[in-house]
Amino acid sequence: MTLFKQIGLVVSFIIIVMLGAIMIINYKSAKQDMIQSLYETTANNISTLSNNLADASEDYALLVTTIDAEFDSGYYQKIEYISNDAKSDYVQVDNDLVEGVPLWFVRFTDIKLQSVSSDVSSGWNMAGVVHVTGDVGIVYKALYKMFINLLYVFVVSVVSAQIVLSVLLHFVLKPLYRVQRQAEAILKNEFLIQEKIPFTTEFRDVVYGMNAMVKKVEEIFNKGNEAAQRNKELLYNDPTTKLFNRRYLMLKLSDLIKLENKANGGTIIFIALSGAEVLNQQLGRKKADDMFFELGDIFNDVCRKYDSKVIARVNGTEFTLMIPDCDAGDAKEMALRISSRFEELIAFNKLDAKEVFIVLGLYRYKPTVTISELLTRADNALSQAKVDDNTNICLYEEKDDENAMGKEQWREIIEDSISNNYFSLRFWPTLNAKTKSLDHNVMTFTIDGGENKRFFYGDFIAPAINLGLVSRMYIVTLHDLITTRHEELDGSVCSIRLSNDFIKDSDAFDELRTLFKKYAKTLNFKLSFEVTDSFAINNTIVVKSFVTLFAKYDFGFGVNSFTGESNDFTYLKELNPKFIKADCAFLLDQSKDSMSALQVITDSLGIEIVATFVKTTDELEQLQAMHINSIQGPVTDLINK
Amino acid sequence: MKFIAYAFSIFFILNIMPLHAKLITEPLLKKAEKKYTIKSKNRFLDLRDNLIKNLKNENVMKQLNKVNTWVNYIRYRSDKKVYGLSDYWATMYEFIGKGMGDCEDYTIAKYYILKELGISPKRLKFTYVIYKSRKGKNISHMVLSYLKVPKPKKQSDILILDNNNRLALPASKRKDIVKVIKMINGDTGAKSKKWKKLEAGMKQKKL
Repeated sequence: MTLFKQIGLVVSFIIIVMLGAIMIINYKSAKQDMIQSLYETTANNISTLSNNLADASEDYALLVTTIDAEFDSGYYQKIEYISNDAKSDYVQVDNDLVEGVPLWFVRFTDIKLQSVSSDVSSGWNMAGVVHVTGDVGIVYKALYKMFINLLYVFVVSVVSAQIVLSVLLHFVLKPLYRVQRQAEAILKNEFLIQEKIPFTTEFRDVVYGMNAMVKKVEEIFNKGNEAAQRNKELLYNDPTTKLFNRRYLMLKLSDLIKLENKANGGTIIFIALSGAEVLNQQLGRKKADDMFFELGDIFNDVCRKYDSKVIARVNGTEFTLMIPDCDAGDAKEMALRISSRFEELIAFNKLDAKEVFIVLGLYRYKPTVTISELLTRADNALSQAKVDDNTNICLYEEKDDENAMGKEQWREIIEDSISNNYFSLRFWPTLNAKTKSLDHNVMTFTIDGGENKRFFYGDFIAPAINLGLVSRMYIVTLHDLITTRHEELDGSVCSIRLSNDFIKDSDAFDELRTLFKKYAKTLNFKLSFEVTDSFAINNTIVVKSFVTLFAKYDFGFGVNSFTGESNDFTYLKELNPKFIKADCAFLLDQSKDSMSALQVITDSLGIEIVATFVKTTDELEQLQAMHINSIQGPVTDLINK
Repeated sequence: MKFIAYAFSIFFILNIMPLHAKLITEPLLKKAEKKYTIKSKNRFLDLRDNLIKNLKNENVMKQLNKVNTWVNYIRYRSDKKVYGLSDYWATMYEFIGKGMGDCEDYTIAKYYILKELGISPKRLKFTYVIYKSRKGKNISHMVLSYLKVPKPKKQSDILILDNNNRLALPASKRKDIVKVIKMINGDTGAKSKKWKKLEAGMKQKKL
């Protein structure tokens, strides 16, 4: 219960009790006063009546008329005359119900009024006694009217008090709401500074403290960010061209080869520059460096439409463009554009194109290629280009397997699988090496449609992307995951790696939202979603909308394939993932300084680092030495044993 | 515009309606016939269409005498016999509807009819008296007194409307009224409990 409600309830209770007490005291006091007043009035009247009756005591008709006249012209319940000789007794009574007063009130009030008595004497003759009881109906009516008025006053007072209290509490507790919002933001690792300083001393001190804390953490993040950028440049960037270096390329290659895309692989371009000595001699070192920088710009410009590319300067005169999702035709066109723009650059610097030129070797690879095959074949293409007198570009293309299925065959298989849900869910664990406990499961899926219809995710994802079926495929599998019980998931966390194409599809967002709305509450495990680092960097706004949707249902979010390729880690602050997953090789390749900078960032944002593809216990030990305990990969089998 | 026309029509009808229509209404006639008999209804009709209508512009003396005579035609019955109570102030409607009542009921009926005829209620007093019967017995009784002048100084200034006498005679000529115990106002002064009940009954046209 919120503080507002607690204070509201307590104060309301006090107000109601106080007003109620005042009402009861008022009511009781008024009741006593009225009864007393009626008794006194009756006592006053009886004196006159007894005098009149004294004169009439000898004549019964006179006596009766006197009593009737008195009774009819006043407010009496009863006038009773009892004569001493018992011959001329007379009584007038009115026991009618009190009009205008409900019976329950009469019963509740229960007024007992004493009768007033007086002797009737004529001279020395004691004629009798008259007993008079005032009309309690007046008291009932007056009390009922007062009761209703008090009730109105009570209701109006309580409602008014509630309104005033509510406004007052809202006003007084407004700073506390802001403190609460700031506290929530801190818990979510968001850097929220409260600009409005509360008037109340206690709140003011809390806000000062929290602001100072947030500023410190933000400062730590910013310093970490700067340090990470610096270290990344030192470790993975060529200082002249600002392109990546060979070390970074080699780290990324295995990820890039397997990257999900439409082209089912991509193209690697080796570019070798001839005449570097001439260039240095003719332009001088500084201008030559400027020309290399401009060359880097040309590479970036030509393949800017590819998000997941890596452009690296592998040595002084050789460059590599690793471009996943790029087919042979596009690659050839890019090679021609690079060649053409290089010629323009040579001409601009007044160099001889016969002395200073570039040679391009292109290799169109499939995801099944190994790193050494990739490099060897690209090198062969480059060598071929060097020896060919007619052109400086050579393309070596990996032909499709003759037995490979065609587009329509894939369409049939995938659509069939979507319609009949042939997808089989698979889970593999992410462990905490320190506690040897399960951190979360990662979900993937295969197609299991019977004999000759069994395929791994890697087999059908490229055709699915090409055919635009990724979103439907994911929705079916997510529906299966959420609606079917999977015992291994009970009470745990299940993480799903979302395909980039799924996130780009706006309809998928709506379907996911509908799915969550319908089933989120029924889940007996927690969901978590992952997107690739490069996608998160280049599509931060789109990913943010998904993150907001996940947060609404208290689902987790993480970034996978993290390679620190961004020059600014602010996107992590923006997306606030719970974890980042990075290849073990990448993590182990980090220098002490760069790892330290990365950990400053992750610690300041409350992000956990998960190492993937951890194969050996040696690697595990090294990771643990770096305080990385969440592990994915073959080594988890060894830990489990 | 239609609304204004309706409002004017209602206002006009209300203004030309005879005053006595307020005392005796059509629903009352139906109710009287249903509750009692056609005779009951006829009494009300006679009161409205003959007595009140004819006396409207007559002099006070004629009004007093005619009303006294008309009301006195109703049979005398004690409250005990009619209502099972020792003392009960019936409304004019109960009294005329049933066609019977005691001295207080005669007084009440005369009071309201005279008031309807335009006589000031300040001149009308409910009077508790001792009446000496022909057999010489003192009886507790109530009559309606009419003050000929606002502040009467002699008995002849007060006319008595009594169910024992068809004529509205001056008090000085009513030797059978041996003692006046009390004169009380109708609805012009401080209202007693009984008056309030009676007023409520009259307002509801309690039959």
